[in-house]
Amino acid sequence: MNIVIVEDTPVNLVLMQNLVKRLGDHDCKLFSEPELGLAWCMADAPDLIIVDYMMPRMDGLEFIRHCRASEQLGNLPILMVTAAADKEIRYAALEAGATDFLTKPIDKNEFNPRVRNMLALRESMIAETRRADLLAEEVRKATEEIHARERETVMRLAKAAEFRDPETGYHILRMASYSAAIARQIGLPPPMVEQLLQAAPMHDVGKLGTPDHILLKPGKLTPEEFEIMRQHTVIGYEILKNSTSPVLQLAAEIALTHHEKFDGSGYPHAQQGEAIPISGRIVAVADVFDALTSVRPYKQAWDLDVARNYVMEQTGSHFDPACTEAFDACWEEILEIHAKYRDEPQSV
Amino acid sequence: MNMDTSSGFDKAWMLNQIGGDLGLLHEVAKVFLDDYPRLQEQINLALQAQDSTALYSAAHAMKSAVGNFGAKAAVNTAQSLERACKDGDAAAYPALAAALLQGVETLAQALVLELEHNA
Repeated sequence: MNIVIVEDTPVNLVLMQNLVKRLGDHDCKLFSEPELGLAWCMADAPDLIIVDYMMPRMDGLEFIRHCRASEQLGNLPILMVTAAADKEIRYAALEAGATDFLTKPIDKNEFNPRVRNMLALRESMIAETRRADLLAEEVRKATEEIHARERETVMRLAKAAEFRDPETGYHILRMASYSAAIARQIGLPPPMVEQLLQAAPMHDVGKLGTPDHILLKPGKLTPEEFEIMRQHTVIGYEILKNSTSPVLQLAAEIALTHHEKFDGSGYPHAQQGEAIPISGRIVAVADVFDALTSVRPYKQAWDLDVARNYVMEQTGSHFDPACTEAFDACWEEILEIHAKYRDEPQSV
Repeated sequence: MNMDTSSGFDKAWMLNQIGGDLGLLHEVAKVFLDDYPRLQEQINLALQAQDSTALYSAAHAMKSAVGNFGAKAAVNTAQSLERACKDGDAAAYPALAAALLQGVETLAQALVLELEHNA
């Protein structure tokens, strides 16, 4: 333990230092000037302070008040040394925050047990702090594990939907990353951006409920078939809704609204403008842009700049102007994401 | 062994205070012998300057030092001087200060003897 003794009379300083030494293997730091002692304590936070009452320039009461006002010495054990008769001073010391007293002249029979008590108090304080830190760390780990499992479940769900869809490869990673980039550019708070990144891959999970003959039909869909195809938004919502997980709640919202259009011509509810949740408006841009720039059985991948111009042209009709503006502003990042998650040609 | 407490040094009492540690007693005595001229000078300077606050502090420091050796008479004199300083009774300063300095000198001599006997 680290013990500081602040005392201006050398005889007492040496006497107390020797008594402390005989108590065990403790580091003892001595100060005859209270200002220097205080500065050292503030910087190095010892385990116990023993401070004399009567000292030049700064008395023990003022010393203790300074300690108690600081964060690092706020609840450290402090012993104040006074004459037994100084009752008023003892009351003032308790008021200032002294933990206990030592009586002058120093008496080993009192000194040793009191110092030992203070060190035991300090030890239990340290143990308690350690326990609290340990517990906080365990909670953090457990929470992190839960989040990791949730992310995994979400990714597996998204993968399940992917199996039903010709949109293969890195589509879901790309569109989720585009969505997060746009959200960040708009200025959504970082936790929301992170949630969007996790939720966006599930936007097409409702395709699990779309019949094969429609989902995998090579040619153009009839109006009736197209109506059934549109239902993947509602089915996705039904799969994901009413979860207690914020990520799944957001995913349900995205599944339902990512085919809505800003001018009200989208589906399933023909919602308009800001009646469409921001998540749906963002994912709409990311999803369309990725579809345009990816190879499909029926089309080539569009040139990136052509796709960008197309998206910008749809501002106000298909897309929210705030989202396309953000998309345009973070174009460099969009290009990086596209390059990072490039589909291998043979995988198409 | 010198058990005469009229010198101000109460060896038996002090040993009881410090757990019978004669080595520690001698170490503390040496420190006191090195330091007490400084404490005496503080008293003299404060007395010359008629500075009650400084004299109070000096008397208190001396009391705190000699108290360790069981020097009850010197402690009492120091206490009287402290009280006089608090009351601003300047007329009492010279006699009390002289008595204190004398008592401390006697104690110091006893400590020198103690160290010589046990050298």
